[in-house]
Formats: sequence, C-alpha cells, structure tokens
Amino acid sequence: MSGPFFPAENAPATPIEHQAAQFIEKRDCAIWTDADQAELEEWISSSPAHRVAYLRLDASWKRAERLAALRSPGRSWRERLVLPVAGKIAAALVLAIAAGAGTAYYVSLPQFSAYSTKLGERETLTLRDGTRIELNTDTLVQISDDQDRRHVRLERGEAYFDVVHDAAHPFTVSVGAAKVTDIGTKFVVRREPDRFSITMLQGAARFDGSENGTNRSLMLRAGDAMIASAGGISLIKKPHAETARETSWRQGVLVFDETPLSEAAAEFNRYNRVKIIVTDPVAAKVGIGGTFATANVYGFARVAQGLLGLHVENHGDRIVVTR
Amino acid sequence: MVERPDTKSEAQNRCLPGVDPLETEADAWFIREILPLEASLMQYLHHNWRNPSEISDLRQEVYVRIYEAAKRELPERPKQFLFATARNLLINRVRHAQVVPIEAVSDLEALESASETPGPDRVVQARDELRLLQIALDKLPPRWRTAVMLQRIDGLSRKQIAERMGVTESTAAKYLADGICALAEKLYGAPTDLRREK
Repeated sequence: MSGPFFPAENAPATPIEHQAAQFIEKRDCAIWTDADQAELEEWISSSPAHRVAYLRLDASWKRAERLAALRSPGRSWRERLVLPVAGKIAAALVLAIAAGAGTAYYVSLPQFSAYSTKLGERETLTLRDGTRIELNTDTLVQISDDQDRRHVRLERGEAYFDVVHDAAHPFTVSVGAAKVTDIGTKFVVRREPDRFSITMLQGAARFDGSENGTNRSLMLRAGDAMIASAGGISLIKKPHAETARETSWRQGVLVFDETPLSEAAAEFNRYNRVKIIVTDPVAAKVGIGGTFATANVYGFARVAQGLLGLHVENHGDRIVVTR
Repeated sequence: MVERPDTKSEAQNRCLPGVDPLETEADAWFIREILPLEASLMQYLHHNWRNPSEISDLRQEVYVRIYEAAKRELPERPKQFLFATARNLLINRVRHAQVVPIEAVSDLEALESASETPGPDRVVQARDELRLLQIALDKLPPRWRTAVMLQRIDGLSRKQIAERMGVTESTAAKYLADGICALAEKLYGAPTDLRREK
C-alpha cells in the first residue's frame, strides 16, 4: 500500500457501534431504568457483533473515568475548555492537590428533572450514587440535577427509597414544605391530596415539617409510620408484617388481611382505570383478605361475589359492589 | 445528583445490583488480550485493504470471530490468533466477493504468504494512562471533545452539557455517543507513541 502508513482520519463507527454508544450514553449521562437495562441486555445477547461492540466501547469509556482526576477546583469549566488538553496535566494536577480534592466549584441554580409513572405502572430509578427509587402507580418525582445536593421532591403518588448513605451529602425527600433527611435508610413516602405518610422500613431518618403552624422535628426509626395532614401529625409503631403488607406494591401485588372492603377498593383504584365502587355502608365494612396483582380488579370482584356473598355489577369502567 | 460521578466504584456505576450478565470469562479475555492489540490490527487492515470505509466493518467481523472462538475455548496465543483470523477474513472476502474491485486488496498472494503477525508493536506500554487519555481526547473533533470532557472530567449530565454548550439535549446526546465511539477509536485503534507526542 502506498501513501501514509496510517491515515489521519480513522474509519467511522459502524451502525452497531453507534447503537452501543447510545446505550452507554443514556446509562451514564441520563436516567437509567430497569427497563433500559433489560433492553440493553436483550440487545447485547441478540448478537455477538452487538456484544463485542459494547465491550469495546464500554471498556474505553470506563478507562476515561480516570479523566476525573483533572477536576480542578480553581478553574472554571470555561477556562479549562479553551486550554489545549495535552501538556496541561501536570499543572492541573498540582492545582488540584493544592486546592484539596472534592471541592465543589460549580455555582449553579438547583435544577430538577421529572420522572413519572402512569396509572398502574411501576418504575425503578437507579441514581449514580447507587440509591434506588421505586415509583409506584401515578407518581411524579423531581430529582435534583445538582451533583452535590441529593434532593428529590415527591410531587404526587408514592415512592420507595433505598438510600446509599453519604454523611457529606445528605439525601432529602421533600413533600411540599416538609422534608425527610436520610440517616442510612429504606423508607416509603406516599403523598395524597390531603395528607402524606412516611413509613420507615430500615435505618433512621429525620422529619422536618410543621404542625398547626409550629415547626416539628422528629426522628423516625424502623417500624415508624408517620402521617401528616391538616389535622396534625401522628406517629405510630407498626409491626413488620404490616409494613411489609403496605409495601407489597413493590412486587406488583396488594395484600389484604381483614381489610375493610372500602379501603381495599380505594387501594385498587389507585392502579386501575376500572374503578371499584362500594357505596353500601354495610358492604364497605366487610373484611377481605388475600393477595392480588394490582391490575387484577376482576379477581378481586370475584372474591367479593363468591366468598363474601356480595352483589357485584359490571358497568364497564365501574364495578359496583352492594349487599 | 443523578449524575454524581463515582470514580471509586465502577461496579456501582454499572447501575443494577445482582450478577452482571456480561462478566463471562470470554468478555474479560477479550478486553484484556485483544483490545490492546487493536492499533496493530488496524494497521494491518489498512495495510492490506484499500477501501478505508470498510475497515471498521472488517474490524467488527474479526472481533466477532475471535469472540465466538474464545467462548468455546480461550486461544492460547491471542496475538497470533487475532492476525490469523484477520488474514483469513480478508482472503475470504476477496474470494467470495461477486465483483472484486481491482484495487480492493493490495496483493492477495502477498497476503496469503505473509507472516501471520506483523512486526513489532507500535503501541507503547501505557505508563501514564492519564497522558494517553489526554492524547486521545486531543484527537477528537472539538464538539465531541467538549461533550466528553464535560462528562468524564466534570461529571455533568446530558442535560447540563446541553446547557453549557447551548445545544438541545438530543444534540448533546449525539455528541456524547459520537464521542464515545471516537474515543475508543483513538484509545485502541490509533497507535500512540508517547515519545513522539509532545
């Protein structure tokens, strides 16, 4: 071959490499859900060409994580960008050492990204620090983009938090003006129009809010269930079996144990377009037990009819239960 | 905070708990033994194949064959195996092509009789990984380089990068994905001689 031994312009990426790069970009630069991970795994296992392209790009992208050593507290990102890169390493490293590592140097307004589920959906978000957030049906959270401020706003619905503790960067969940600050924790926060609740499954957290205009601060520990509404704040201790039952939605099921029919129906109605209506006051108090998939409205109706002997009418988007 | 960079624990960065389905023996072998030979492989392909637009397809095909073989049994001499595979692939391509452009391959006979491995490696052992990364970065087109730097050095998200660069999020995503491809090309595919890079 004549000409240059190695061309200046290398060969362009193949379409498969582009696809692999898009997966990697989404995983490391945006939010990555269980569904995304499943899609990636499916894509990789569907062809060896996919697999080798992924291995190659991921290996090089991981190597580039070392570039984080060039973070220099004393310089703005703009300054760094206009500097030619090679040859400046030594200077940047010295600067980083002199100024101490880990110093935050961005001055930015807090910005949030919204993540939501529709009726009947569930979704797990994994943050870069390893913290997991599981969104229940019809839920909206706003997650801070700020890398030094771990803050989630629960705007609507219910979410389970499994927080990777970092004393230097406390993890805060806020519901309106009230907030929960993690101290190494797994907990569930549920927001309803007129009230919200916090159920502690593991560890401890601090609650800050107000009750009748007075600021309240409480330490919450495993088993604590706190409910705040306009009427005030109540705190009760719940046995493990009960907190486990309340968080069964994480497995996609609803578990009832002598639960009044009206409460059970209200739970189902959070997940489904078809609503169960219990107007009869006697039927409303009948206890129901069992485990149902959150979408299994008709199974629930059959139990009400067959086992409890109640009258069930199907009106399409409504199932009416009477005596 | 979603984008909190975490250089300490790559495993955690890979996002989901549980067994990583990619961690098979063949994967680790491929990354450890084959990828570092990419610069030599690319040199070999460029030397023996005239159509540069087909080079990355050829490389991909070589890797697929290597990987498939490694899944059955790890080859004992990775370098020899890599170049024998590349050579066979080039020969097959020429033989099975419906129409062979006259200049497609420099010299089939020479290729068939060539020694299986090329000369000494031009890849200098990376004593300074950071320096190699910087050199690779410098070779990227400016916009891709900026996006990659904002992500890998500063740990910014796609959204933040879009804001800094004054482009839409989808454009930022494109710069990043292109940057990911180009970085691998420069890190693995291009020969780097630290002595000559000043």
